Amino acid sequence: MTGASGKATNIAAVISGGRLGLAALVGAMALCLLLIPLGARGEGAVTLILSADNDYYRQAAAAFRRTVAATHPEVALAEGRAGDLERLTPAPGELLVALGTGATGKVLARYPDNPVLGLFVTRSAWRDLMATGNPRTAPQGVIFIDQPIARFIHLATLLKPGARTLATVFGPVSALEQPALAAEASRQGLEVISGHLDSDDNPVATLTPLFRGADLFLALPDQGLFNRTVARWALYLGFKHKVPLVGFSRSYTEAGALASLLSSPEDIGREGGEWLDGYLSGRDQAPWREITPRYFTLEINPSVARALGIAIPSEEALYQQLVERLDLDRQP
Amino acid sequence: MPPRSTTARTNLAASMLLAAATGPTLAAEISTEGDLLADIPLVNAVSGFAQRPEQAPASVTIIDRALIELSGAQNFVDIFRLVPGFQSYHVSHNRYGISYHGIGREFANQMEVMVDGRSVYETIFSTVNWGTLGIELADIDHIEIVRGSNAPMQGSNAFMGSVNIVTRKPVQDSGLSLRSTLGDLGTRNASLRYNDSLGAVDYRLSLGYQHSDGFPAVPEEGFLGDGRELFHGNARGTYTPTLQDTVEVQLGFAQDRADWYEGSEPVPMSQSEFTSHFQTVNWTRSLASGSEVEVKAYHNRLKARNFVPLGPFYPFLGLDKATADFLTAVKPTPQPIIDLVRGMTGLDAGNALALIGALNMEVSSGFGNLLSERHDVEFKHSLEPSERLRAAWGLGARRDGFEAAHPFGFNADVRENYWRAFAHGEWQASGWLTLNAGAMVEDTFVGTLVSPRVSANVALDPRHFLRVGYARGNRAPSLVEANEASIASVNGLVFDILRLSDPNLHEERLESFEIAYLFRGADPCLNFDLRLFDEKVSDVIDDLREPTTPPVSLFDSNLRRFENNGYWRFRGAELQLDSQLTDSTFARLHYTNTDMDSRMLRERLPAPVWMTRDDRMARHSAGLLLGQRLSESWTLSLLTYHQSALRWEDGSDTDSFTRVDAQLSWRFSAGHSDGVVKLVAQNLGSNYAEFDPTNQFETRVFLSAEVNLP
Repeated sequence: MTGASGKATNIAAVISGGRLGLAALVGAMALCLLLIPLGARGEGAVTLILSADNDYYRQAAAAFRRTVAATHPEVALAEGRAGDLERLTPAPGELLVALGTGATGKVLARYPDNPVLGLFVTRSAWRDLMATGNPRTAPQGVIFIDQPIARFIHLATLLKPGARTLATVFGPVSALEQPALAAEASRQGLEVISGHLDSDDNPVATLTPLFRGADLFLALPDQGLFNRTVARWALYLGFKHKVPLVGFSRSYTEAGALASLLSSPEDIGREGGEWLDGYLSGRDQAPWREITPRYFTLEINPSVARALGIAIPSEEALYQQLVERLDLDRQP
Repeated sequence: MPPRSTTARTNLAASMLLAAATGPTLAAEISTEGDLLADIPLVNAVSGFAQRPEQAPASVTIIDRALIELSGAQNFVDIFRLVPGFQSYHVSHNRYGISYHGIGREFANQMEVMVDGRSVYETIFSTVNWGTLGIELADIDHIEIVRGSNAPMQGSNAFMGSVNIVTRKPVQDSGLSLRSTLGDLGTRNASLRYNDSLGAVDYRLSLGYQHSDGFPAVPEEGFLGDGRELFHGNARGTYTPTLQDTVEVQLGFAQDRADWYEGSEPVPMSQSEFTSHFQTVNWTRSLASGSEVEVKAYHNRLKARNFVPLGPFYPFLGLDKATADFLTAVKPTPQPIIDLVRGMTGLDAGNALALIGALNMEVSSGFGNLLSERHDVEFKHSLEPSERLRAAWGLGARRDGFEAAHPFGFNADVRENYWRAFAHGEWQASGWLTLNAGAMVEDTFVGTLVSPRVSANVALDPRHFLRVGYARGNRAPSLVEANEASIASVNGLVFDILRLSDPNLHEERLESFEIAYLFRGADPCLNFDLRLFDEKVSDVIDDLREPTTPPVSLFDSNLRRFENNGYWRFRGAELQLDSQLTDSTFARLHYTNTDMDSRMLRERLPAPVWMTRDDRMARHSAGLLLGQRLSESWTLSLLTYHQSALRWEDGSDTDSFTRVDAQLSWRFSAGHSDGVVKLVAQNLGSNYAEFDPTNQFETRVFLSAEVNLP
């Protein structure tokens, strides 16, 4: 199992820098106002706050640092842990970049007057934080970890070009993606067979009919228990019915999915660093928003492809095909 | 079980119930990055929770279904020749000896073998009776092999290592599969497997039949007659009532008619029959944040029968029929006859009368009627207390028993209860350092045994890993080792004492130190595992030859007394490497170099005699498997295995050998059905012998076919 990632610059949202209209001027002024506190600490200061001392947070933080060092070496980057916030004393208005849901939630609550960017946060967790959080005076934004549904559908059609039927199962979180999935699948000429699985449902009984007649199964990320249970049975059923499975994590691919689409820590850190560049340089005129990740990593499992008798291109080639497909998709 | 207060037990039970009852709720409709990034289980057998092999505290080999199929393996001996450090051999054609870092014993007794977590180590034979496992090789999904003591996780019997054979779940297959193998040695095997669902229960039914004539005839010895006729069947059901619950039930039986002899005794093959059945029920509940609770209960029962008719008893006393008729002609026996026999034998009047009564009795040898039974229940809780800490703990109880009945031999009825508690943890101390620690505490009939294990696993970078590990293991004697009283008696008169257990028998002890290096390559996919080991085994249960003084000694004047009198030390290195070299080429290599130092007390009287067993384990063993997919349908594989010369314990000296196996397989499909035809040739070269020179392994050819119908 190998991976390909980080070459998606051509699908990045290109921010127009050639027109300095009124909106840009207002945005630049707003940015200057926001940067005043940073200026109070010399060349500017940003504090990274990790949810825990885990590999993936550290790797994302390292990628963030690399990107910032290349674009804004003047920025002083401090780092802390969510479990140790009392030791952090960010200046008023200093930008805080939180990695992970735990850190993001704590930082949003503790520092209402500091702008916050959340990384490594799922859509559902962000939605919950926004719904339950206290009022804040400073802005906040997020770059989601979830990959958009459209990318999964494009990947599915690349893996099995003749596919007509896509199966999936929704849990309490992923059920919110059902309309988007139905619309995107329909747009790409796929029929969707789906089921719903709650804590009282029989997973094998729910999943088994989905695999009969499906060309491909798409595992959507949900809560941990749902993910583990679906993975356990869907991988068995996939091999039994010779239906390839597309997952959302590296371990899914290792465990037997044909391919996975995911945001790696490097993708997240890099995109966070580039967001900071756009924010500091003023190119991003509306930084405080919910951002779908533009970078992604593709993992394929050649052993599974061999076992299922599916001919797939190399990972690099497949990645490039997917990027091209997504670029085409973006054209009006 | 370790001493615990009643209160502690009650609290523990209450917390278990609480853990089981407080299932997760999905109502919150939130997932976090942890849900997306969580590992999917890889290796379970070492610590009781899912670990990546590079983070586990011991070396692990996974033999999966694809590897078994590629190797052309016909039985378990062939499979374990794919694993470094294993000595895998035919005691006779129908009996296997499989051990990790052990001497080539007839009854390899220091390795635990489980089938789906159910121990199949038979306490009546102090080994695994491979013939009555009741599973087909085709039923195996994968085998998890822990190379090194796994007593800290699986208890006494996993002293030197452990094997867990994981069979396929019913949900993995569908429809009807028919399979047959024909070939040399009169091999006629057939099996069928049917998978379906009944309501919400997925089930599998398997039936199998195996026939073999055994090893070919050899000069002077003639036909060995060590074939087998085996029937077996099993049923397995899986029920997943909710997202978090899984209930599995398994039932099985096997009947193996296999001629038998004891390697250590100069007796001919004789008809024997082994029948076994088992029942297993397993409930797993997945809890929030990766925790899991598992309750498992099972029952094994094995009956064995082996009587060797020897005819009337008088010839064994050197008497002819006329003398026997004369001595028994008048009943009740006149006093002059009694006095005559007393004069001839030196027996007292009572024993002389018993001897006269025995003269015309039809006697037999063999192990007689044996019954071995096990009940076992275990609770296990695996959990992730924090993002850097994973752990498992559990409690278990076991009742083992055996009965032996022979009118002229061993008679016993023994039952023992065992309790156990275990806990293991994996702490990711930093990005590059993982620490493992765990221990098993067992309450056995020889006392409370504690088997701990610690390791430090270092990730040098994402592909290179080091592990330093230390383990101590304790192995309680098997029930038969502790209760052996094998005698030859006729009409109540003991003529020979064959084997006795030392009344002070206690546990064997192991101290193991290892350093391992692992490499995980991506392109090409390559896994490399090197283990350097130093294992000291003390108080090894071995047999001391001791003079006996039965009233009449018919066979020899020595008995074998089982006592803790041996010391073994294994030092060496073993490696395994597997690689998917290209899309169509696979290679697997393993090599083991072992230096064994040993001593044991062979005789205490009249003067101590010490002996070594340094030549009982092969100094070198190696295997190379190459698989080449020739087209979509055709695959060719070659397996070469080498083993250096050794002196088999309970067997004889054999030379080193190199064996080459080849397999050509053709896969086909027709509509919704598919299948495979395989031609397997084993030992493409001159004959070699294993365990005994009479076990001549010649070139063998097998043709097998499998058809899967939807």
